[in-house]
Amino acid sequence: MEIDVEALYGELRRIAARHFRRSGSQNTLQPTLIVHEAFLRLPVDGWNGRTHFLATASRVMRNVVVDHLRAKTAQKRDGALERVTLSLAEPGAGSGDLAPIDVLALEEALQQLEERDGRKARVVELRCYGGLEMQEIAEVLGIGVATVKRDWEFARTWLYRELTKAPSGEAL
Amino acid sequence: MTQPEWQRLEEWFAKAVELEGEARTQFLRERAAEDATLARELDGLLASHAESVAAFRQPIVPQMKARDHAGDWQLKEVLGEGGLGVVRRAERQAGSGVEQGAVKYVHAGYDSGAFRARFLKERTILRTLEHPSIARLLDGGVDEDGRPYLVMEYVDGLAWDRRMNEVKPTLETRARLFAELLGAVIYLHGRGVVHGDIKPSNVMVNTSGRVKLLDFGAARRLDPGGRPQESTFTRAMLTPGWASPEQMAGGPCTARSDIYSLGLLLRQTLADLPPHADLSAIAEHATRPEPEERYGTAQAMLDDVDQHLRQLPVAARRGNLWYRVRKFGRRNVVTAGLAASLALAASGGLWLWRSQQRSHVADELKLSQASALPAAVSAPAPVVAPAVRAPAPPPIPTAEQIDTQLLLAYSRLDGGACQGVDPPLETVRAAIPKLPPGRAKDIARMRYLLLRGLCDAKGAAKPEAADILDEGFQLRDRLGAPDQLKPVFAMRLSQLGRSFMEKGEMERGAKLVRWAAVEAQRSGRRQEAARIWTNLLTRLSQEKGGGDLLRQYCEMPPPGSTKKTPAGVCAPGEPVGAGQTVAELSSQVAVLHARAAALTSQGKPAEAKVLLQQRLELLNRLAEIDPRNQRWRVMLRRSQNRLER
Repeated sequence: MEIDVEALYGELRRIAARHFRRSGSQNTLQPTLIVHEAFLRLPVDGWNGRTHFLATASRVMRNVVVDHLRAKTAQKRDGALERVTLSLAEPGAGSGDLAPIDVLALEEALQQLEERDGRKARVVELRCYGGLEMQEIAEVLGIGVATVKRDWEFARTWLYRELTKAPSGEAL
Repeated sequence: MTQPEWQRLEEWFAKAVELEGEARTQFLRERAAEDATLARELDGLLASHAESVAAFRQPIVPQMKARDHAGDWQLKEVLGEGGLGVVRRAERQAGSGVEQGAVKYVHAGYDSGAFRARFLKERTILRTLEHPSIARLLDGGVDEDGRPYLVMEYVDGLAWDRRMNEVKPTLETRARLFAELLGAVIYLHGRGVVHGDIKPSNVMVNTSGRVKLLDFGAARRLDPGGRPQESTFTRAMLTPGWASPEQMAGGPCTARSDIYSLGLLLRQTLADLPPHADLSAIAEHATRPEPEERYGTAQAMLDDVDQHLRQLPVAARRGNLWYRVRKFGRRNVVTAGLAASLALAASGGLWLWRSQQRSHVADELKLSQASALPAAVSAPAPVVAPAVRAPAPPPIPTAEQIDTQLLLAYSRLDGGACQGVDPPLETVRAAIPKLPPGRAKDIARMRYLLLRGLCDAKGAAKPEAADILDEGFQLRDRLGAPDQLKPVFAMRLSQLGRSFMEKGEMERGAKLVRWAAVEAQRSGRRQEAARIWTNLLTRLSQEKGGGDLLRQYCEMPPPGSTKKTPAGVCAPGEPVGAGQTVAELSSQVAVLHARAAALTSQGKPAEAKVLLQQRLELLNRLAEIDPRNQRWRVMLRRSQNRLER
């Protein structure tokens, strides 16, 4: 089955734009809502199964979210300093004590990871932006579940360390 | 870090996370002996491990799997999408078979607060409805994410307009389908519910040819007095082009608003058929701008459609004639005095002079009314024999009394019903010059002028009315009076102005349209004000002799608008060919289109076609002189296709 990635991309972007406009706040981002709406509108049947849809959607979602945040940051005069953050944990999910993750910083780190180890980066993408379970990621990538778990443990830890490293000596 | 180093780090990490305490420290020591730099990396990673689990516990997009079902309904393809929500086909297991449904969700962001309440209300209303021509409510609930949904009966068929265009039923079939729809609306109104959003896409005809009314997202309950329980509609819920004038003006939506939409639907239903007097008359009667001039009930409308189906004369045709006579009568107040008096007595609206002393002028008036009536019509007012009355001049009411009266009349003046107001206006007119000069007098005069103008202007373009209104508005501006007209009048004002302009009375018409824009701005409807203003300038720019007037209006500050005057109207465009600019040509194209649409809806396709041919020529020209604009070519192609059909 031919997948209409263009349509999916357009749809997610459109929903995202509408949602951000309405939310009013520049710093809030609830990708869950965006994907929920995409789910309501896009035919899940036409895909080669739900996992297939999610796998494609995860790449698109990553682009949508990152593009949006870049645009927002660029709009701000002091964009370099005031970065838009996104709590990976949903409100009310016991996330109160965690520092919010800077999604643009995550994106930079994820791109570094991509250069070193494309598969691990893809695992992260499927997990974080696609919400896929380990078993599903294994199916999408055609590898064993144990391998996915190992990739995920390592990649997640490595990314978190990159994100929490002290700035590398550059004077502000 | 080289690729082999990276791989080694990964292997070490996988082993180290399995170890704890002393075993892990031991492992790290051994690795440091092997490669000190890489071991430091490993140490750093292990330190981040525990926190990373918590930080990434939730994916950025966590609950994606929730949305392929709602309750026990499996969601299928999208059936339709509106501004507020989306509808998907759905299935659930029912016994050994599969039950079909249409699941309606509200868009994220609209699923809280007032919109959520509205959505839940739709469910409450639907629950009470049970009619073969109204799509049933099957189920409803709140899904795992807390978002409410409704499940309606799935209607396999075509929306009304597609059914008409694709199946092309005969006139009689259309009338019968329409009667069926009316049956549903009668039932609805009988249950105290107004639909509020009747339009072709909300009326389905299923594969067995039954009508199903859908989408109660804008529905309201009426209180026992026939008034909606919520006074206004949320704009987002209205469909421009289908909503009644009073809805668009932010007024209450009543059963007569549904009747208006039904009239429009009927008109559209007839559009591609040869003209049909009876049904067109029914549509006309239903779509009068003033709610009180339409059919009072859907039943009355159905009676007329039934009459037509049984080939009997319909009441609307007689009614429309009477309507025109009344309109004519209103245009000619002096000669139609008797008609006015009759209307006054019939409506029981007697002039209430609120002062302690009864004015002789008022008594005189009552007398003249009473004497104008046939004896059979009861005249409750006591009749004073003319001979008994003292010849002394009547006392002049104070400015305050007049003003109170006028304010009262203002508040009563509803939908243009000037009965019970206009004869006493004469007495007010006579009294005002005798008042002592001052602001109170000016205000009374201003109110008199506006009331008088609005009453006289009702439905007709009487030149005096326009001048009276203009004077009244100018006075209001000068006095800085807070008076504000009801939205329905502001709308009528622009209609009236346009009708003057149609007749070639550009200056008079433009003045009124401008006041309509000012009025819209005063009541906070800035977008409406901007729209009226833009349309006015566009209209002036289309007029051959409108140049001076256009310049004059272009210099005025646009009311209510933050936007600049539309480009290409006030700014002189590129002169093209025989002195016609792109702006002029495109305006003419728009006007031709509107006129053609009007003719089509009046059942005059041949005349419409002539205009569409002219439009085609203009588009051809536009495509030539403005070749970079794709729009003309697209419009040209569409227009050619339409004409060929």
